[in-house]
Amino acid sequence: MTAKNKRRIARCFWLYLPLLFFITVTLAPFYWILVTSLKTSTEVFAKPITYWPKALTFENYTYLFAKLGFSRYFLNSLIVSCSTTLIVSVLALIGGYAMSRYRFRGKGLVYVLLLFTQMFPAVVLMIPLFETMNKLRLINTLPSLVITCSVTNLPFCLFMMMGYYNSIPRSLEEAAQVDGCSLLGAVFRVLLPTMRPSIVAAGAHAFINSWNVFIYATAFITKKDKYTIPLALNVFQGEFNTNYSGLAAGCAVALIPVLVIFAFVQKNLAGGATSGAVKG
Amino acid sequence: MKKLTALMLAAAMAAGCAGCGSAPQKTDPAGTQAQASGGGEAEKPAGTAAGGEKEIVEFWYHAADEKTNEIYEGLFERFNSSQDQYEARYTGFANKDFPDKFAMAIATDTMPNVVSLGFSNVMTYVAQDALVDVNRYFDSWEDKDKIVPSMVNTLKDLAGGPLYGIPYNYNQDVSWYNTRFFEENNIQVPKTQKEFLALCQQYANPDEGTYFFSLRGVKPYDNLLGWLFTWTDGGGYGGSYFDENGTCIINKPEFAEALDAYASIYKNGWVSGDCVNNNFNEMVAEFGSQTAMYIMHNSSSKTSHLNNLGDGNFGVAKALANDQGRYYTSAIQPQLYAVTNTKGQDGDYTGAFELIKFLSSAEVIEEIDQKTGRIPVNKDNYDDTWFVEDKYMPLYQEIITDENFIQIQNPYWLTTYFNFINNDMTADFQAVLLGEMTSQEALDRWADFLTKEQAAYESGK
Repeated sequence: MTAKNKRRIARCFWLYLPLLFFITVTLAPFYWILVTSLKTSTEVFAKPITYWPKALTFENYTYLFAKLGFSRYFLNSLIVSCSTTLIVSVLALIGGYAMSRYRFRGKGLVYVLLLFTQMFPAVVLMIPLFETMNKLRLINTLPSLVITCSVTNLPFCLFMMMGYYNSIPRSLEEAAQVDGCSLLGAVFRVLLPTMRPSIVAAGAHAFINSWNVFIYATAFITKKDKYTIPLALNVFQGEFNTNYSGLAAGCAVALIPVLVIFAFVQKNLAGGATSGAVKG
Repeated sequence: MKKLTALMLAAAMAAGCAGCGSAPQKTDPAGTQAQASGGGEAEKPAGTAAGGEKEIVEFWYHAADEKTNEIYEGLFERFNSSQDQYEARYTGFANKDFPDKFAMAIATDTMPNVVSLGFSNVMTYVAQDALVDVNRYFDSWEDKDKIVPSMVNTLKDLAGGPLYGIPYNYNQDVSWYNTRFFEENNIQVPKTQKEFLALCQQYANPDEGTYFFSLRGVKPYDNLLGWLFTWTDGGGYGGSYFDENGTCIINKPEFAEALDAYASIYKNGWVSGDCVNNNFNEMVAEFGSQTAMYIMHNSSSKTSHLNNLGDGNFGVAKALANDQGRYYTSAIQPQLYAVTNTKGQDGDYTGAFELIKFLSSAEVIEEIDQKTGRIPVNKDNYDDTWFVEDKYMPLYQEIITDENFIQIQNPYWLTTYFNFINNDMTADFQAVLLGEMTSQEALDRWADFLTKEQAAYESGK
């Protein structure tokens, strides 16, 4: 056996096989969701287990959209997630710059307070938030979720942005200013293009968190036409019965935006999330 | 320059904040509309609609799924079009979310007008002054005699007189078995606990991953207590947890023996190793996937078995009996429609009760119970064709009148009991299964807790 062949085999054994195993383990739940959603409820439990539906059916998807009105819930989730992402991205971008570049009285306190907001479990905040939303007459409206998701996601995203700003030398803006840019011009023309990975990472974080928001949704939303996807999926699980194939179909649909986002932003996501980790 | 920039950034931030509230409203005109009518629901759930034409009656259902939502939405449409005095609004919650949601509504004074509840939660909500005694409305209801008296009395006994809701159906504790497996192996459906144990041993096949039984390790109370009381023949107290002195009897040696026998099913490997973590869903999934051929549950799981196994592939049998032929279950625990305390105990709840009367009518109950497998408590239903011809209902009826059936008197009047059986009992039972605690130790803990709670209840009466 030549040295080249040996290297090839070693590469297969140490690199491709573990990778294949990892990919299989990662994708198996997605595959299972998809396959379950294409089975009848009886086949879900049939023995022996079928790894591909014996009788392929789309009735679970038809049921979702034709009878359960899933498109409405999908749209609601999209409204909440996109609005939250936009708000969080803009505020984190601006706030992160201020926190990174400016020294002002009470900055340490602001920092600690922001950190403090991350320490409360959602359950503790439920009643005060419900009272607040009720007083604002926002119960059973999507803005209640947008506001809550924005304020709960903002601190983390702000820290993320702040870390990135910290990693960019101030001389970059100063150089732009020497060349005739205003400070804002320097921020938007010089800093912003280099910050795309961080903005994408913060935005994706906000989007996914608000897409999956459940606990606040159960508190604020009781009207069916205002349900978001996690709330709608909940109805598949009754007191004494669970519609697994319907639930799987709902999960498959719910996964689509998240997967699409990951497909588009995965490079930025990995770079952006860790970009501020090391100052340099 | 710095200050100017800071000012601009602050202004942008403020604009962003303002966008929080306003932008989504633009994209959601329905939400704005909800503020005018529905949005006010949370702030003021009961009362007359804006035009003063119809009184709004909010209703929350405690165990919704896609099927019951569909049924109730249809019923509410029918109720609203059948009269012009009230506008009833339906909201369904998944069973696991309802307690939190309703607790929050109580805490924030935003309760609906009527709720559907399980029997086990009633006294918890009574203790929070969330429910209204509806005796006066019930007494003046022309159809009150149609509601099975034992169900009404059970509710009255629970609260010591007041009636905190109208019962509308109940579940019967039974056993479900896989008919094909029984026929193929020529097995007779076990009638006694001892026959059952023998079958558990005989048909446990760990190599193939199939077992006779699926044991419920999480929230095991109805199955477990039924087993214990049946094995011990109620310890001589006919289904009561307490002796004449108010001391809990469930730690007597015969109860420990019963728990040992039940736990041995797991310890001997006669059920799957996962059973220790089996809740309802996992247990039914084992039955549905034919990992297990026999489970103990109530009549409500029929829909699951229909979906999972298909019609004709499963059967129902009475709960297991002891050597004397007697069997103990927690059967008569009706679900109920309760009026919430939104206007004080003496307020006018006519609208709320009108909705309850509609929902408790035989015609409506038929529509619900036929699809959910629950057993009606409106006597008119017992003559309906669907009830008489149903495969399972006659058996449930037979059990209620069977002299060998004995009701376990679960002490739901203790407001801590529900939490106790859901949390403490689960943890201790799992510890027994895993050999971390003896049966006697677990039962001693339970008996000690219940004796103290009962004493506190008696002294506070």
